Amino acid sequence: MNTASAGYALICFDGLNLLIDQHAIVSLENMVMARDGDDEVKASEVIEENACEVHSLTAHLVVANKIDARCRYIVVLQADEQRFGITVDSVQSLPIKDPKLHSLPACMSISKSPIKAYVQVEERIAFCCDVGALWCHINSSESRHECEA
Amino acid sequence: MNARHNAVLFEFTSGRHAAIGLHEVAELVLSPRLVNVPLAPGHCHSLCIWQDRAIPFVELAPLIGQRSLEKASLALVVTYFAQSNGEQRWGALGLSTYFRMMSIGDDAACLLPQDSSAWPSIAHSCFQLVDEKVPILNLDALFEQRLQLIP
Repeated sequence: MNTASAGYALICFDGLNLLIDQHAIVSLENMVMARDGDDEVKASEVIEENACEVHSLTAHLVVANKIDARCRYIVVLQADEQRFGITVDSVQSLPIKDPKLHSLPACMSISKSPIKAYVQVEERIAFCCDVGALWCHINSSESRHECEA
Repeated sequence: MNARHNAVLFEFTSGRHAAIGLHEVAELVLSPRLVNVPLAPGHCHSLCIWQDRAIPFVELAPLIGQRSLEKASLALVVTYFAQSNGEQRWGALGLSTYFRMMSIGDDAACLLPQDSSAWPSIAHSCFQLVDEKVPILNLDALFEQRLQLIP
């Protein structure tokens, strides 16, 4: 499996490295936390300019019940008709040319998972993430567990 | 190594054993480097980094309804040939303690344990070891198919 022609961005949050198709990235925003009356950080926020929800995800791709205030940026993504943001620690271009993508082993693959492949980036493993499937996952009941970001 | 040894017996959770062919063993790795794979099934939640490869790490306990190892401190790297294309593949099995080599004869054959419906999907056969039925794993089935966990 090799999609060397694709352009990827490497995003990182909660220790997880994800490769995102650069064409799916609408903008990169600085993290500006809005707080409601009782100083609780809400589970999702709205960036007014891009009019989209923002979520924090864990390394297991569980939607956190609070925005992770430690993150520095919000990556705004476009999935078909839907635009949404996720909080991240870092964003960079993929630091290798012609990445070799490996399919996940058959025993690990799940049909609806946004993760289908991985690539070794220096000492790290980064997982290729389909933005459309990620949006479906974020909106599924399976993605919402009790957890703290 | 005794010339008559033909299998490797290992404990995958407290008091429970499985076996593979001696020829399927590649290496025992202490403190394996594991990378969690988001949304992967509970019995194969991580990739194990071994010799610059990322290979699937499988734990048997969740497949039979038991808890995962608290900390994966031992991984047995195994190799097999995929039935689909004959390609050589590698995988890693989580061990709760060190393995031992042994000799298994046909006279020890028995039925698979009845404690899990997963065994017929992932085991070639089984042998009796004192009072325990020990499945012999089918590595192609274990690593090359999507298995259902027992709730």
